[in-house]
Amino acid sequence: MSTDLMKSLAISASGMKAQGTRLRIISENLANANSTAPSPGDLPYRRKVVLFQNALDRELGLDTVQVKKIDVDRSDFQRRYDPGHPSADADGYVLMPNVSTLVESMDMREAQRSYEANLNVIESTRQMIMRTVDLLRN
Amino acid sequence: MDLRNLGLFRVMTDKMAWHNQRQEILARNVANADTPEYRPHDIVPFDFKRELRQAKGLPLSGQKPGHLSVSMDGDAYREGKTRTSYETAPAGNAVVLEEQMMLVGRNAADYQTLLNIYRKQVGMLRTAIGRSGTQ
Repeated sequence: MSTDLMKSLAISASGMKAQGTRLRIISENLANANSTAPSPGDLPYRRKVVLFQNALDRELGLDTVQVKKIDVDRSDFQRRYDPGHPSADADGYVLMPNVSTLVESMDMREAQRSYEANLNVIESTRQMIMRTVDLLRN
Repeated sequence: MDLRNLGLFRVMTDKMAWHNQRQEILARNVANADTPEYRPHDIVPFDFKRELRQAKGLPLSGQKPGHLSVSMDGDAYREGKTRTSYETAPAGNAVVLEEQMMLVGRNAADYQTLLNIYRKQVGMLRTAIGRSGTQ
């Protein structure tokens, strides 16, 4: 009866999973916003980014969305003058992670919005299924 | 009795299948709302006149094993990428969540309407049979 509706549920679930992974990476970035290098020669935490792709689920025969890969942001590190810091170089500068809290929180909002949209589609599909089943009642 | 032999029921079940397929496509669009280079898809509109004409036509009977069976149902409706969109993100994604959510809502409402009509029709048949229809 509702194979197509079940497929919609599976697709929306894959979207929610992808957004969940994205949210996890965002929280990793935010948590490490101040993770400096352990010693002067090393590099601090590098911001991670999530790449999505539209992938064919061969088992279900559907176009779902997947996390293609979790890559690193290649932008430059920030430098902060802090001569007393254990990992400061000869000039007194410390390399800080290339995480911007502002960018991360905006990204988080977007992930949340997409997650909610998927949730709404699931709710609408679920209602369609339940109402079809309700046809049996009379 | 197969209700699909009745023209109206046939068109209604076809329309339900259309809504099911559309829901799947819309779910895919929403799930891919952040996938780079993804363009939203949609389904060809349901042509009531054409479906009605098809529903009136006589299907092949296929009584012997050697006869070709022509399935009149189960054909998926054609879908394609939508040409125009309100905006396209720098990454090439053209899904606008607001548009998609509106379509999802309308799809669910139309489906609900159809289910109610279906129920009414079954009620009318029941009345005709002589049992008291519930509605």
